[in-house]
Amino acid sequence: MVNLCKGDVMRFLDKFSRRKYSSAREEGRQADQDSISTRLPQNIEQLHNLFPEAPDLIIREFTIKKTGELAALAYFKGLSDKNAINTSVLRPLQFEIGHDNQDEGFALSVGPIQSLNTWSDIEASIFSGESILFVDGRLEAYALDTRGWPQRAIGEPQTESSLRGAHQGFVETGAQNIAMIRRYISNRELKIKELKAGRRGATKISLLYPGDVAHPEVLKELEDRISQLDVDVIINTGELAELIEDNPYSPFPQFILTERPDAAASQLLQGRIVVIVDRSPSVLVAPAGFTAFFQSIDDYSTRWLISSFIRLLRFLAFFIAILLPGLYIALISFNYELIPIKLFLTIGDFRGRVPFPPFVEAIIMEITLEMMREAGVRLPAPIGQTIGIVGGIVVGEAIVQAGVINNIMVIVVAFTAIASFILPNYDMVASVRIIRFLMMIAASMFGIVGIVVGMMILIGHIISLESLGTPYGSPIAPFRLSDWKDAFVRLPLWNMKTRPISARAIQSKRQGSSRPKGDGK
Amino acid sequence: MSRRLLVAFIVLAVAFMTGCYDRVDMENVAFPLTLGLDLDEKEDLIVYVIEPVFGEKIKKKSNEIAVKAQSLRQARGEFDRYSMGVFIGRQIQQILVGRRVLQHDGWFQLLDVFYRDAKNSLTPTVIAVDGPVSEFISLHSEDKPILPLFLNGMIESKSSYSETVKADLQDLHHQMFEKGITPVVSEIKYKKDVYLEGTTLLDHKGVYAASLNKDETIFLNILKKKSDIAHLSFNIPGVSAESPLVTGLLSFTVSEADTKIKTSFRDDRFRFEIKVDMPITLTERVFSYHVEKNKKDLEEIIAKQAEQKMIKLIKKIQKAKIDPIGLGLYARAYEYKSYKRVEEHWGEALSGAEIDVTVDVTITGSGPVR
Amino acid sequence: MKKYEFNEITLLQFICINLGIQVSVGALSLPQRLALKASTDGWMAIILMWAITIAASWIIIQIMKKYPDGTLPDLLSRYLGKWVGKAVALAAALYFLYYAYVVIVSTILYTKQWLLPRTPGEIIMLLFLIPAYAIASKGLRVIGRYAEVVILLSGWMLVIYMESFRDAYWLHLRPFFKEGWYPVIAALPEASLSFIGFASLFILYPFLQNKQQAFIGITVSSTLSMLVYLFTTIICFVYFSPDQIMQYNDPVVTILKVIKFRFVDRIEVLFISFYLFMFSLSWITTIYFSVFCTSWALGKQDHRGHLRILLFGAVAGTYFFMPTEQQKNQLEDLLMQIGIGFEYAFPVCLLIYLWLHERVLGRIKR
Repeated sequence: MVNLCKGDVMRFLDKFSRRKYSSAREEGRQADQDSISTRLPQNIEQLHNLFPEAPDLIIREFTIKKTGELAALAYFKGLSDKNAINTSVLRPLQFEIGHDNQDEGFALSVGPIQSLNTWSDIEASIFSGESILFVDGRLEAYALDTRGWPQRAIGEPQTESSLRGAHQGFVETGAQNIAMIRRYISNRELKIKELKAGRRGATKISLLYPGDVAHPEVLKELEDRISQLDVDVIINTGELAELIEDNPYSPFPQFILTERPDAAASQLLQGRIVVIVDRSPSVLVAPAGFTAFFQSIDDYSTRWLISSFIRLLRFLAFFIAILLPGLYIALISFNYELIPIKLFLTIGDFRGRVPFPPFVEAIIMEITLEMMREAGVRLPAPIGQTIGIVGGIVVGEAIVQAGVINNIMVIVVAFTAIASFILPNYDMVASVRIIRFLMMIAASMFGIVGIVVGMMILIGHIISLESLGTPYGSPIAPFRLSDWKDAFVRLPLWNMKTRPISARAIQSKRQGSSRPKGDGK
Repeated sequence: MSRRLLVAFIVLAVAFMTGCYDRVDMENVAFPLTLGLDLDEKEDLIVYVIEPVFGEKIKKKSNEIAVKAQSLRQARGEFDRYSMGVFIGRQIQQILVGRRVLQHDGWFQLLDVFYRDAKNSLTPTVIAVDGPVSEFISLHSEDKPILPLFLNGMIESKSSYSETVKADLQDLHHQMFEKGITPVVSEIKYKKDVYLEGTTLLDHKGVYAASLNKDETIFLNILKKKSDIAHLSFNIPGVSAESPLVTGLLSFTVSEADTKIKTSFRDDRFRFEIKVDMPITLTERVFSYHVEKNKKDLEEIIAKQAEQKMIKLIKKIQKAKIDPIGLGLYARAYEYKSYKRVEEHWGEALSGAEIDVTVDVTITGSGPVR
Repeated sequence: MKKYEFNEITLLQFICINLGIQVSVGALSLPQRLALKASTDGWMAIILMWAITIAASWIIIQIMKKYPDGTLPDLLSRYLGKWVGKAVALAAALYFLYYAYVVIVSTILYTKQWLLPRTPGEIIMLLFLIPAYAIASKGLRVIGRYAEVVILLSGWMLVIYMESFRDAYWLHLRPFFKEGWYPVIAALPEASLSFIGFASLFILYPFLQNKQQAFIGITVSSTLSMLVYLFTTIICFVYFSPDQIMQYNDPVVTILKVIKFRFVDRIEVLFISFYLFMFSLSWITTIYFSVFCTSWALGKQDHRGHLRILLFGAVAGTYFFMPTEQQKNQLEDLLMQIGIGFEYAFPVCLLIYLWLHERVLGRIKR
């Protein structure tokens, strides 16, 4: 396991830290009860008071060999790296003399060392996995960066696998996630703003943005929204998205959540802002438009003609997934005349055997499908396969044989399911499901008119949505032709010379024509 | 915000409770596919329908009903009493009209319900029946699809080869109301089975005027500029008949025939000069003939025959005082004033008109064999 | 003072809104109306009326230029006093309300006729007003976006008509000027019903991002409507016989009744349902204009209060009274007359008045 926090260069506290120390002492005088005491036993007692029932808190007392001072090291078992503490902190302090020219510094082989003198600071840093060194007689404690909580190896993101893209996904450590993005954009213009949110467990939230491209207004808006949050803790990025969304009542996702560093980097380059929530493996990309949910990172690495075709297919699939069951109901219950005669006779033949009205039939099938899908998501992979068998054989075959549901309905549902599977974004798929049911209700009441009015409301809703103050419906409405190059189709890369307007980039030029002309020499 | 949700919920609930006025599920509906109109011996109108029957264990695929009625709407009420579901005429494929009905004017008014009720379709084809309609209605072939589908396919394919016309209700409406043209509908006959005769020509009031066979129909379609492709066979004279199998029959395909009509008004009567350009490809020749050498002669022979046949057809039309070709449209377009005077009895005016036909034939291909 | 800056619309949105208002009422019955007056020469009236419309909208723009940051009521209250402004605002509100009412009533009648014959009018009204509220309450900017989407979605409907050309008799059009010029002139008012709606300029002008383009915008939208009308009218004329076209109330729809595709029969049902989008654009915009004017007159910032009252009133009103087909035709005729007055005659008078006013007052001021 890689541990980024482990100091890899031997460092000594120098005069710089002394200056910091003295200024910290001045501040410490002003804070009274909160500040630590000079006496070690008192500090240790205070620690026990602060964390009364915390068996995982370790306090190790020892003598510093170099100076002979009494000291204590406190850390949480599991949150800190045991190896680093043993080899880089305890061993040098207990057994090494070090050089003479350092008076107050310690010979420690850990990265940053921070002086703290208030208990609230200590609490925050001990929870973040740092170990705290108390020294008898000093009015400060030292936070040693020995962070090393349980981590998962970097792997392929499960929800957004790709064929050509990178096979690294974000993990649960914010710092690592930032590093992964930095690997794509090694440029000083990649700026990072750190914010904290959450009362019970301050969650570190990092805003990554291209400094010379991102619109300051959008950035300000995002920052304001995050800093105004008042919550216990943010467990996951999804929570953050819901808390800062423009319209939380909408079924549509207004931010992109992704687990792919390459996707995040590519969005950054378009001028959008990436929000990394520590402890969550998905990052939030804002502002996002409706069409962004139909793009996948693979689009840019496959041939443009093919990926344009696939994009169009996705939009078609979106409409099929929303409308098909509704249309089926409308056609069977209201407008039979639209069905060509031969198909009509076939459907009539099947319908004659089924006891339920089309709406009930459709609801039964759709709910069965949704349940199967949900079951498939949660079940472990080996059992999950049985769902396929159950779905395929029991529902597909038996239900028709038994005359509960007709064949055409099964085809419609299967078609809808396939259509919704090709949408690359999980959040969009989820909203499609909800809308589909609403369309089915509308269709069962008013037939095609119901569907059309439903579409009116849907369109009206989509175009009035905003994501961080930028219109969600762009580039369709407001109409921005130059953004169409990367919305419904993907034009060749050398045609995408400007960043999308919908990202509100302040510097829109992307790259020159990088394609060799002529004979390619 | 929650108030807004509440309002939305109430609106939805109200709409849901009050909705569904027009919903009639498919299984509660009876769909007539073919409608038949005929008169019985006592001159009473009989309305027939063929409706499909759905169900696994039912052998018969369709069901027929015949009722006496004065109008279609009234007939529908009667049908309802015989059937499982509500009768809805939106999937009617064709309307069979018996010869006896066609011989009376005013039958077109019977179809008013199709035009008046917007939900009804105007796509059903109108087919004239030479003989009683009941023969077709009661027809059950084990080895054929049900009659409505069969007729659909038959009319569709034959009309694409110009051998009949596909006149749907919209066309019929057009031809009935347009004073410069008279209706043409396809005609079937019962000859042990369904047999496509050709077309029936009606006069301005919709009354039966004449029937055309397959070849005549092709020529009519060529004159109407409605023929994309047609197959014809002519007897070439002068072929010595040594064996009964050797005849002078020559078959060819006419594709994209081009018809030009010149209109003028002289000496108080209309003159139409019709010039037909017929590019043909030979498809069959059962006698020996040197086509390449005698191409010009052959073209002339065919042109001559075609000309005669067309003139015969036009004579027939003029005699019946009808205008299925639509020459009235030309008259109106080019001789508006004179046409307006005779508009109300255009058929008569046309019967006195002078119509010249010249046919120009070009053989564009004679197949891969000599 | 730029009080409408927040709700600016782009040129394209402006064009789409105008097109939406124009191509709604009277679009489906236009060929029949024209044919009744001028037989197959009726299409010429469309072109004439188009030219007149462009002239009238030019006049409106000249008026609006005098006070580019305000709507018509703003302008009038500056020139003629607050109360005149309010009175005109209310009159305009009534006009737009009436326009919206005619459009929505004819939409309901179309829906009842072609799609939902047994559903009561007030239920359909309720159904239609849900999206109207959802969109109109969000303000002009969202209406502009909606217009863009609707116009984009509706383009395919014209393509279907290509299918009808196969059965066309071009001879129907000839001869031109069958009965001389008079019938063409007589058909002009009938064509005007399909062109009115450009009075939206009175309200939209200050919202336009780039006001120099107002004339271009209105020209483009009027030209597009003209082309749409010309296209559908000529198709109807060559498809239906001149003797027959009078038989159909909405030839533009009837013509589609026999078009069949492999995958769908009865394309006209789809057409009418899809045309609801175009209709909705028209009534949503005019409803918005109406409540905009009343809110202006009563000095309210938020138009949503009035919008709710209006929509509720519309549903309740329909419950008690739903016009029949004939009454709808009368309503349309009345709209045509008021429209000619408000959109063609009124601007001319106003421009002359303002011109005189400026000459007289301007001299005094200088």
